[in-house]
Amino acid sequence: MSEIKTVLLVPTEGDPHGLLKEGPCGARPPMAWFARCKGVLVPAPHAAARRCGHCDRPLAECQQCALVLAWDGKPVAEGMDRAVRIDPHYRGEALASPRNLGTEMERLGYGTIVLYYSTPKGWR
Amino acid sequence: MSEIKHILLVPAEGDPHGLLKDGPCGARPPMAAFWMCRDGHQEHGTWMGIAGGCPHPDHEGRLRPLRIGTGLSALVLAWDGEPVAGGCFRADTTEWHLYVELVTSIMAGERRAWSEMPKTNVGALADLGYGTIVLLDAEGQEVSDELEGSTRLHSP
Repeated sequence: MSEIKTVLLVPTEGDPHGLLKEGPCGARPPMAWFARCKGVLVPAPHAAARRCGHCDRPLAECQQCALVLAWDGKPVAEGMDRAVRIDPHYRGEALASPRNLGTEMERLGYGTIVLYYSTPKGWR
Repeated sequence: MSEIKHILLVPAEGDPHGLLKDGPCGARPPMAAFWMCRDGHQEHGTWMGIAGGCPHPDHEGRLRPLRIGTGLSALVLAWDGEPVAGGCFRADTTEWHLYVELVTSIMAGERRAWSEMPKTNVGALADLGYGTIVLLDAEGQEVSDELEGSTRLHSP
């Protein structure tokens, strides 16, 4: 992967395609929540994170939730799998990288891709 | 049509391949567990989805899990007659779509499916130490060995 460490896809309003929906038998996709740190929205890997991994300040309320396609510089297979199942036409180049997949999904109207050059660590 | 409604992969002891492990950012695979359902002085075992309830309406609230996490939890490959892509993906991240085709054909009653798909045959899974395939009917009871390599783990 390039220098981009985190690739997220924010579903369109109301998540009409069920990107973040819980699956059968308790299956759950990888998700990140956006929280505000120093006026900037940053992703947290779980809803319970209350302090920033960078500055250790308390985070503001979680704002929105996104499907995780890459985290900490690595593709997240479970997230890419969820995206592919929504539209099985993704093959080849679209699956070559989380960024390509997210870009393609955004183009088709499933949501908005969000890229980060770093991965916040040490969320509490 | 086959009587098979659910297909599970019970990991090898200790789940050495992490089939049931939580993924990054809260990802969780579809899972089922073997439950003992208490009915008066009788108990009978039933496989159920982790998020599901007992299939018997009279038994609501009289369930207790049996050894969850110690070998009697399983990855769900198919549930309620439908392939569960998330479970197939966890079992094989590169050939998961073959698993989806496979469990679909099994539930349609095609008994020869496993052996015709080398990458997804039960023998290969067992050789790799992944675990054991379990086939269930609509009530969560194990059905007889319709397929090569499938196993009965419990007596009815």
